[in-house]
Amino acid sequence: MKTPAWLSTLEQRVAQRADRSSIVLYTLAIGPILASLWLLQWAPVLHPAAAGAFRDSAWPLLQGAHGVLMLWMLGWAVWAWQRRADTTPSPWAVQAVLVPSLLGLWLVSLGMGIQDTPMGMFLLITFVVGRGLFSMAQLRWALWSGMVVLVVHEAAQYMDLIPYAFLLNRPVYVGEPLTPWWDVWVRLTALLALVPLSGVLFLLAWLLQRRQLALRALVLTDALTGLANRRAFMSQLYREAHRHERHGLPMSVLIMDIDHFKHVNDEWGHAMGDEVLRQLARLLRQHTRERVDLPARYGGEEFVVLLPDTTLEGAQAVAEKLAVRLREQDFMAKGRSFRVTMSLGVVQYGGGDPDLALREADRNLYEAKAQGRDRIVATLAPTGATMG
Amino acid sequence: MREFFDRIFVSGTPAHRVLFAVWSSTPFFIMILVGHGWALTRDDIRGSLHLPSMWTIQALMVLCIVVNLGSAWAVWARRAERARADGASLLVCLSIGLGYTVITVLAGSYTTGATLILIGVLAIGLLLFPMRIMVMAYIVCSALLVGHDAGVLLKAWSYAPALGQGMFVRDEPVWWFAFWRGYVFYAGFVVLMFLLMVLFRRLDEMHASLTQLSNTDELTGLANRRRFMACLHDELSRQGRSGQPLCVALLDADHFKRVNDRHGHHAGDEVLRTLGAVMLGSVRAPTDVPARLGGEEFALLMPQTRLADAQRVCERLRATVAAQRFRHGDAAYGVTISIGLVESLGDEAEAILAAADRELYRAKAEGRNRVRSRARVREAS
Repeated sequence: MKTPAWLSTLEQRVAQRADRSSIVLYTLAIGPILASLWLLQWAPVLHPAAAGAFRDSAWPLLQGAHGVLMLWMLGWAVWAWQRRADTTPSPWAVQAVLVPSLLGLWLVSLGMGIQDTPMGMFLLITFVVGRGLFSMAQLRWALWSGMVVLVVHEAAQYMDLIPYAFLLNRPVYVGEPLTPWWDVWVRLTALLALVPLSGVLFLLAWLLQRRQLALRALVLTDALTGLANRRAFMSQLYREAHRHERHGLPMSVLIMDIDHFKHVNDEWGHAMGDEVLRQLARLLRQHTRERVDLPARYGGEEFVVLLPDTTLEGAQAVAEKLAVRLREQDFMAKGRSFRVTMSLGVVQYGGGDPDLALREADRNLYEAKAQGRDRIVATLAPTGATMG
Repeated sequence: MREFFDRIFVSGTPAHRVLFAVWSSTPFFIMILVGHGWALTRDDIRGSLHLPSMWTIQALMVLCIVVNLGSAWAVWARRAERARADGASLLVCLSIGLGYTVITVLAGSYTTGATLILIGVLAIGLLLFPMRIMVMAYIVCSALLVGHDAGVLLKAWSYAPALGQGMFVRDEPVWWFAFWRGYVFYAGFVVLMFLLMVLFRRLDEMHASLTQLSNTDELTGLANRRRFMACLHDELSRQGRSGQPLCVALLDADHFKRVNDRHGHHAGDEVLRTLGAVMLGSVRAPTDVPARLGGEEFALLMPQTRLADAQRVCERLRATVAAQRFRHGDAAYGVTISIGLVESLGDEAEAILAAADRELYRAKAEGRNRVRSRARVREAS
């Protein structure tokens, strides 16, 4: 699946956590929610259906404070936008944006009643967006003060010091059908909360999946050739060795090394050397069984192939084919063509520590080198002691 | 906690995930079943409830429990296998999602905390199951929510049908409804908050290990070439401001090919690992950056260091390596290194490395196992 460019940019910005771009993004996410709530709160003075919903004394204060908060955030966002290229931390600006916006949204939520309106979800949205863009340490003050407000509010309400939904004349839901205004309001606020919240959750899950894949690719594959790397090969080798112990099926290992590779690098350049490695990787992929055999780059110019369910004869045949194909390959550089050969060590695993079998294959490889290169040396590995 | 998280959410097989979803949701379903059953036996509560709705919820809970346990039973035998379990996954997602969605619409989708629980269930589901299964379940549940609400708007049925008269006295919920509403809200809120914290921490950790992995050399654990070059550029720009000297050493194992040829790659790797360990041990300050540039070539970046001090470090490094004995089978052998060291007072990174390389070449030409160094004065441009 192709990733849209804006999503990758967003991921980068979020991962970077530069204070100023985070402030801009935070305002972009939370600002519209605050603004929509503010606009909805005009209804009681504009429309008769909503008249009397708010306490008369509370409404002007709420609307005024809410408006100031939005201007405050907007101001900081503009400030941060003008300095977005600068990545030095600005801890005070972060707190100046986070603490009032979170507390403000939480107070509005509590004032409308968190348990019988969709406002409870706004508490979560501010947390999710804040935590996505800032670190837990940066969010600490806003979060703790928010929690204190929540607990104090619940306690005061329990002791009958303040009524439930302190901004309203009557709670939104009192067991009767909703009034025409609240009927509209609950649906709008639910939409405002649910859509971004579930959207953010899907986005987070997607990010997590992507990071997992990237991590696995980084840990298990060789960047130059795209083959499995040494770590992936070793863990697969141990797994297959266990299977061998249980089922007794034969298993072989090839280890190969390009002859005079240093000479290729010196004579034709490093780029050509890399091309030779990539070509050998392609050959290994073509001539091994997909999902059964495991070709891998073991390091430098050395490659290995794990061949489960394969006897020494079978492995020798594979080695022969690979050696021939590589020998026949023409490489072009500086207007001339050249060819390379490789030496191979082959071993059939006979139980015990698979590392010993690998060493045996390595010895065979050096035997092949010592005999004059461009050849294959194959032996049965000694059956070692059982794995510890 | 972290291990548990990794076992289920990262390395768990598809079947494990189904089982986890079943084990973690079924107790809640049973709790709902029992709680509502208890409420239905109480005369003072039963009067306020819409009985057909309540029995619908009870029957649905039984159905969900059966579907959950059935799915668990179906995947139990192959729980250790990596094979996909799409059918069971979808069934479990739908049973959990629909179970909570139906309760939500019957109790009032906009005026209870049940929507928080729905969102929480969505968050857990997204961690456990493939995206497309969750999208399917999400669409089905949203359709139910929206469809039910459309019916309410068209006056086909009433809003919050499960709740009857007598839930509120003078605008205040009666005790059991206050308890239910508070419980649903805080259970949803706290669980979701906790889940989100775990999820975010996990994302941060992954990002950190990604950065770390792409910056280290796998064999030796030192910085790799990419990281080394980034550090060098950083330090050079810092030097531009502070004017302090900076030293770079290039190290190369002498006759390394011979080790590989005589004793095999295993022995060669062992030598490289030891070299890496010795370099790590010789680092004086956290600002020094030892790195493996590739093959048998290493580098050491020493910011804010004079040539004389850097020479001492390099000489000690050379002597430590030369004194080291390696064993391979019956053979014991030593390895030596040559070092080219330069001090820079404001050069380009490439120029510094080229100069260090020239010194290294001289060290090799003069017979290896030695340190060659040179102070570079900034060339007037």
